[in-house]
Amino acid sequence: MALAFAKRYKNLLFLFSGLALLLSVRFYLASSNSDLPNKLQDFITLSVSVFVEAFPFLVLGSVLAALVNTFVSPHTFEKILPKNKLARRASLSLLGFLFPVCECGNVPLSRSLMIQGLKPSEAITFLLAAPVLNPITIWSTWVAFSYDGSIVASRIAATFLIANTIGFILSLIKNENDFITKDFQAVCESSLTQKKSDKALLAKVSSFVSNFKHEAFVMVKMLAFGAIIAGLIQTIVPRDILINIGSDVILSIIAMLLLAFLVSICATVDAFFALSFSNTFTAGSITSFLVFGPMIDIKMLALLKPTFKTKTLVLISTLALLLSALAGLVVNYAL
Amino acid sequence: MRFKLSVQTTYLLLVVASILLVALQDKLLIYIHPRYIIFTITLCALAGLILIASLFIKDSEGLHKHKESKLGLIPLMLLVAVMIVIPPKTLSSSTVTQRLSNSQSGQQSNQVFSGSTLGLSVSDWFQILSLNEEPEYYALKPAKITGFIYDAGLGEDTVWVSRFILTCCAVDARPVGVPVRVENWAENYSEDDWVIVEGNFELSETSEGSKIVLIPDKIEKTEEPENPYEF
Repeated sequence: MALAFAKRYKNLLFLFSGLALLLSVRFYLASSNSDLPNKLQDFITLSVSVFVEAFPFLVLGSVLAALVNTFVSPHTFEKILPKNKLARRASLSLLGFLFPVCECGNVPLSRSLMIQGLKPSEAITFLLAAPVLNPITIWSTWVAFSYDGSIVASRIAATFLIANTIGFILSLIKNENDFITKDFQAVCESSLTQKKSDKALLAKVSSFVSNFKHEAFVMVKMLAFGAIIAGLIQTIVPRDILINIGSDVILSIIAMLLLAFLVSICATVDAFFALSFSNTFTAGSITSFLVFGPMIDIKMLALLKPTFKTKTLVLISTLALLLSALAGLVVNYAL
Repeated sequence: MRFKLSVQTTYLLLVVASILLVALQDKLLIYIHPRYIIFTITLCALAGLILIASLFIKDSEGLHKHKESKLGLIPLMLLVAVMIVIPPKTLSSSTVTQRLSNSQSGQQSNQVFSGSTLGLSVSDWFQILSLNEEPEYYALKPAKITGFIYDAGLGEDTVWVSRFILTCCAVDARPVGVPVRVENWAENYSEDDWVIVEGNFELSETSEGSKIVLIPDKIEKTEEPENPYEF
């Protein structure tokens, strides 16, 4: 009986016992009145600072993503899109303004766009642009870089141009079905024969809550990882090394592109991560980070793998990398 | 009534609880600019409400079934544990050293004096000192500042009284400081001690040569202020 209870409520027990244990350690530490070394304490303050500043944006992004995934039918997009190919891709790259979903949420959305009949080059344009070109990301970037409007402007402009350029290059290839995996092709074909019934309200609420939890959970893990890395780099890497790399026009861009790929932090909150480098790194390298990160990183490649063939992912990644580096160089030299 | 607490909900609730715990202690100021405090608390409360509601709602079937790696949870577990266990603390002199070379490039403007100079902050004086090197300029301009002690390498008789300036959150904190003459300062003070200093600026010898330095009429130790940063 007790075992069955423990098994059924194991997460609840974990939650309360975890909280109780942590709080008792806290009271013990407070009573022993021992201070942590300065460097360690500052590392904690900096990491928690990134995390706490970004978390409300993560919640806001997850709520909106869950609302879109639950209440907006993919048919909506097909109805509002123009027929001209260039205008169509440009509109798709701005779709994030209507449906502000983070990059993790965009992957299922782009899959449903293709299932509805959109071409892979069009879905990819949306996928690359929407994480940045949406009100939440622009707002959080503005909050972080309010002292330097040019970073916000160059992030928006570069993302729009790069997403549309890659979409255009992909559209030149005749057989676009060759971009997607065999499994996903099968999904697209079979879905054409399926009929979907409207869900009842309770099912929609349930779907909203599940979507919210999934989005928030995926993002919060990445955010915690990014926050710790940001704190570590700020406290451990010697200042001279940071300044030497960060002030070099080319090296700073390479370093930030690599960091964007490795850290895989969400677009909604990555501006707060980048902010920790703004004192030491060139504006161009910050722009490269803010443009490339939301398009391609370890997490995105893992999410895209079931939909797109490896050669497609290599092509998109290479193009996004080179064009983001170019955007950084333009900012460093021209602005 | 049905009740189910998933792993996702458990961790998200822990995150919300740990941030609200910091807010309850009135310590969010240590991490973020005051203008984001209400926004942060509101969104955390919203997340908390949705998560609590989710305990009693059946999950959508087939949604996001892929397996999650346990390894990815470690940073989150660490951060949540640290937020609950370690009391929030302001950035220390160690970060002043890490960031000092960048703070000189901060925004600077000509300070316009209106009324008494006693109300000027550490960052105000930091700007004024970087713009005016003439000792006469500081005649009849007394200062009263609160900050923490930082050894800026100006010798055993001169020390910095410092503060951090925050734009968005602790990550962008820029250190500023005012040189203060305190003979054999290390005998009575340690780095990170908070002090209130009242005095006048005069030319004084430091290990980096002659500098405009605050000569205290009065200096006393004090508690860290509730809001340790300047904005």
